[in-house]
Amino acid sequence: MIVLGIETSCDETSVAILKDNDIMVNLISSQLLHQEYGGVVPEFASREHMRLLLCLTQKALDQSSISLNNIDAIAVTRGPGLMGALLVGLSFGKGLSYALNIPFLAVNHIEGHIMANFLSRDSGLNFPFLCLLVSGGHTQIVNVKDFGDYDILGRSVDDAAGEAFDKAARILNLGYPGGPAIDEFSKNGDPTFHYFPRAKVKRSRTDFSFSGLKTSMLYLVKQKGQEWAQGNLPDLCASYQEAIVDMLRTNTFLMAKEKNINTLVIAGGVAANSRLRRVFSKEAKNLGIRIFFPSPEYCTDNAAMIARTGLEMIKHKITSSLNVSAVPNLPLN
Amino acid sequence: MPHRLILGIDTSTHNCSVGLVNDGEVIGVKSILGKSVASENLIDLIDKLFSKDIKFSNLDAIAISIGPGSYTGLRIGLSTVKGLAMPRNLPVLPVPTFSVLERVAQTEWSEDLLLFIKSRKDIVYFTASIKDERFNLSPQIYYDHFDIALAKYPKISVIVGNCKFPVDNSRTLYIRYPRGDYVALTAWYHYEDLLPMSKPELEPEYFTSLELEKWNSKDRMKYS
Repeated sequence: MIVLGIETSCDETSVAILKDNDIMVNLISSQLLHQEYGGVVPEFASREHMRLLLCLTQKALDQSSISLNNIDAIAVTRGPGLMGALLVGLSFGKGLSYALNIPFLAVNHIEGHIMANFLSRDSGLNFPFLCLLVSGGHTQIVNVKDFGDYDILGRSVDDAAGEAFDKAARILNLGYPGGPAIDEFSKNGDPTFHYFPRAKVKRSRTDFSFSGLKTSMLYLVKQKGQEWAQGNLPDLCASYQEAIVDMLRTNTFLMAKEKNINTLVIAGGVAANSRLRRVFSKEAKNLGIRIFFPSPEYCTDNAAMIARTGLEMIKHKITSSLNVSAVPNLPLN
Repeated sequence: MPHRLILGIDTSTHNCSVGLVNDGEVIGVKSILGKSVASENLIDLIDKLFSKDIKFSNLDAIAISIGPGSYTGLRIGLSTVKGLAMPRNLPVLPVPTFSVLERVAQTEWSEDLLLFIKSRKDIVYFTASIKDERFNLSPQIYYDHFDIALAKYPKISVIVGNCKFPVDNSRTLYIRYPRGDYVALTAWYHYEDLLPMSKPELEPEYFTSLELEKWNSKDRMKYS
């Protein structure tokens, strides 16, 4: 079974080819022009996808020496994401699927992030498990009972964790995206330098709130000055990152203990954060919980995870009609 | 001219339209009018054009209305076409949307025409199509308020576009849409001119450097 995966939900154009469980190729073209603007400009993103997608698909076929006629199914991100951006990939995928007369699979992007954990060959991961999904758009604790069977146990009531990274990075003039930059500076910093408040959500022990965190950073920098902030960059970054990781850790492991979970899976762009990986691995080990992270290259948006989800849909005899449209706020369940 | 079967697609306006032209003759056209209908209905519409006698696999080229028009609509059309054309490496022929509209309008009027396609609010893309010197593939496109378009061509009394605007008594506005069959027809007539433009990185004709500058300044303000 060979699945062609297409991902254009935000600012990465990505095409992958999956042969059974082997990733033949996974090409990602990140749109660097958004950096100038401190965030993704939706219209630019859509235009770039439009320009790049066919060329990238051809390159993926060439690099893997696979002909379009050997492809068994097309898997494309349907949502959540930016409407205009999603529609480019979705329309292209539908055209291919119709012309080749092969199944079309409209994939949920969040489900794709979870399925990224199945991409490494000998991961040994099986359903069910608890999943912490952390990206620029989402922060959720999901009880994954089986493929397609999800219970959301907790979520951010405001900013996503990745958004908290991006916003702090903007305050500190570190550019976009902010997560990798903060992670990098934090390596030489002291996480106890400044105590950022760990917000708790009223009436819920499992929901998150990250919006106060960036405000706290904003006021701190305003009060002490940008010069001071730049002088203490590693310590500031490390302290800020520690607060985010700490909040994620507290709620996730609380749920893991409560639900008597023995397998924990981390998914999404923030899963690439080195501090998060270390802290979560340590705590999981102490509690005797098996923990899985996608390899860093499959944490960010990529088409391999979309193809992998498509493969799983086929195994479960799920295909999509060519009438489906993009859904910018598509929920997981 | 050689035997050619061409599929034409227009998603530049709210009228999602597809047509089939065989040897310069329209043999099928399907359209759906409505907001955001293209994404859900385009493939279905295309599928309905074919039968057991005329199959998708018989196509020689696909022509697409390239703009200006709705950005998202244009991208849905062009992305779908790129996907449809890729497996057999069919030529993708980009037809200017105003060339399509000119051809549609010419079936009804032989005089000078003011053609427009709405962008947003009262802003339109517009061009003049003059009797005896139709622009064919090369419209001179302007982008401005509808009133400015009227003022620019005070003597043209027939106005043709994809939505209603108030006009004075000396002129009449007719609502007409670019259509898939006319996209295919235009491509059939101008096949050799359009063929060199078939490229993998083909983009819609957005016609909006102005707006990009606006984003630029807006975003700078927000983040500085």
